[in-house]
Amino acid sequence: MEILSFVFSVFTPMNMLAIVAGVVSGLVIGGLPGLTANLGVALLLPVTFSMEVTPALLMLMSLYTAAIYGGSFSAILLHTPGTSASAATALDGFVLTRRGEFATAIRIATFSSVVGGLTSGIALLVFAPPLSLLTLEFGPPEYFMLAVFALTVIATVSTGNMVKGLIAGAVGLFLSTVGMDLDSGFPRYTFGLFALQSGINFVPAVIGLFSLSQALMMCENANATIQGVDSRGGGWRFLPTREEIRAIRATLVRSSLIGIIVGVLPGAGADIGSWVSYNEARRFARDKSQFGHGSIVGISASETANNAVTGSSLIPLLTLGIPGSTTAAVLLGALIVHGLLPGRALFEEYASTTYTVIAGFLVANVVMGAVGMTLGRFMVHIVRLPNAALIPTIFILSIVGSYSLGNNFVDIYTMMAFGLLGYVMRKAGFHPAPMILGLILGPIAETGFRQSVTLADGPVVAYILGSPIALILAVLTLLSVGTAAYLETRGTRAKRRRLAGGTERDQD
Amino acid sequence: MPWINRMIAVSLMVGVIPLWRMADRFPEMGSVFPRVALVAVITLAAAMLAHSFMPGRARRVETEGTHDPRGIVRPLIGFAAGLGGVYLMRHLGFFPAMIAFVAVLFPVLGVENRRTYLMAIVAVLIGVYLVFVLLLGVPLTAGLTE
Repeated sequence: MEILSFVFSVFTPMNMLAIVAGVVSGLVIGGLPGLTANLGVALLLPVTFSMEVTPALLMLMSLYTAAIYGGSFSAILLHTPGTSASAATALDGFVLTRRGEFATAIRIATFSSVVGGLTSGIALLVFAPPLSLLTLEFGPPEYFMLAVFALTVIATVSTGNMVKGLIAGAVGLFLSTVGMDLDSGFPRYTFGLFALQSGINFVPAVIGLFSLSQALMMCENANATIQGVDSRGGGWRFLPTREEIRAIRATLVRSSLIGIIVGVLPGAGADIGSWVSYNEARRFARDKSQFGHGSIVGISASETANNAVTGSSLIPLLTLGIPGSTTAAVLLGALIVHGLLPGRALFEEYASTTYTVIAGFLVANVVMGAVGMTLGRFMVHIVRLPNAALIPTIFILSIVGSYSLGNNFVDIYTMMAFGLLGYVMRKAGFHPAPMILGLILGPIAETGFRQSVTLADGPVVAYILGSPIALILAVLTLLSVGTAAYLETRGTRAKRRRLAGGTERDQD
Repeated sequence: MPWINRMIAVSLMVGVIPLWRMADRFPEMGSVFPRVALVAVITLAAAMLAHSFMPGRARRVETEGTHDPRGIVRPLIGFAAGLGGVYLMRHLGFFPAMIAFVAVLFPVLGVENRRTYLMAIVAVLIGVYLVFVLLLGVPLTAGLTE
């Protein structure tokens, strides 16, 4: 009954205003390429100094979850993921937009984000203490295998052209090694440039590879519109149809679980959650050919998981003080600023604040869905604009978004370089997504591997696979690669058969 | 298409050599991971090269956008204009530089009704000012407008 009183206390005018303000800010920040959720939380943190602790935390947490969801809008409409967590959404969402089915894409993304956010909020409320124990079991071998497992996503994303996908992933892994070696301080592949000492910032790389490359692709046909055909169905629905829910229901459950587990692990953020979930959705799907060609299951997998990460990343934060993501790290600062220290005291001494904030997080996800669908109805007009109007807009937002990360020109030039690289890659049949995965996962894999080597008393492989969690992840990795290789071989055979059939018909 | 794949594969294989040599100077553990990535790149590039000689695989159409080589001229000019705009940001300031960039870009894109489009871009720039400068406090370069 006490919990219910905390839930009711969410609905005070001040708390609701804080939630709405956080959601709207999050949607704007998430939708703008280059502005990340942690940047948004960091920017809004000083605003909350003068506020009471409960509305302050509610505003920041609402912003966090809404920013992750907001990234899906630009991913779906412009192939420009607003946050790196929405990169997987762009794969299928943009295809649907080009077909004139953006309303479906946004509806599925919104519904899935809300479900993902709600399930992770419930997990946060119910499972916080027991789940936080799992994080204590994760050491270097487990992190290394988690990164390797996540890298197998590349093989899945690239099915149909696996070699090119793997090359892009390997180049991304290599690029992740650029910068100062953290153990020895030795500069690797910096070519004497000071700007490269801290490595390649992957946020401008994401903006370049996805947004700028898209603007350059659009330059080829400046008078066309993104939407290739007239909108199908036309009607704007707030909720998915029964058929759509039937198609995505298993994905909603699976991706929520994946998101919750990934979110609990420190360092593995919403971007990793969405890619792992996308990979698993594809592995479980009966019709795998739809993925990358406008699959609503693909959109649902990515969006459910990335929002499921938001709540669960707060579990180790609130219980152990270990942030599960960069944004959670900024939120840790917010807790401390407002005089709260993570740990048992949060659930006992400050129980009313903690449980009200957690309940408010659930409410924020519902508000996010309603506000998102209301705004989305107007935002879809973007795709009806001619490319000539959108190209400079994407250019300008990419430039300003990259600049705003650190107020320096290095990020802009990084974005421009990756933009041109992304365009060349797309022209040559390489998808940019595997390169991003390599860039994100490279440092996690390298750190895990090097720490494992240091800790291993004997062969490092035996040390890594000696951990039950790492062993399970290794088995999952093999299964994932095996499935992707099987699909690739089957696809090639089918194509050969079609070609042979065509030749026979020609001869007839 | 096969010749492009061959060219990319050979470029990657050749490009790996100096990068591998550079890793000689790295501390022992610091060179392991880059070299693993480089081995992966060279192996996969060799596979791509081999595939480009297989009739079934070589025939695949994999590119995005137009297949006309002249089609890439406009994006490249657009990119150069963008780079010019970024360069001007330091000297003219963000907003004048972006107006100059758009003024160069529109003729490249073949826009006829330039006034309408320019007004749309000014609206975008006002939005950028409101969100990034006023709301988020991003110190965009001032240049001439200082």
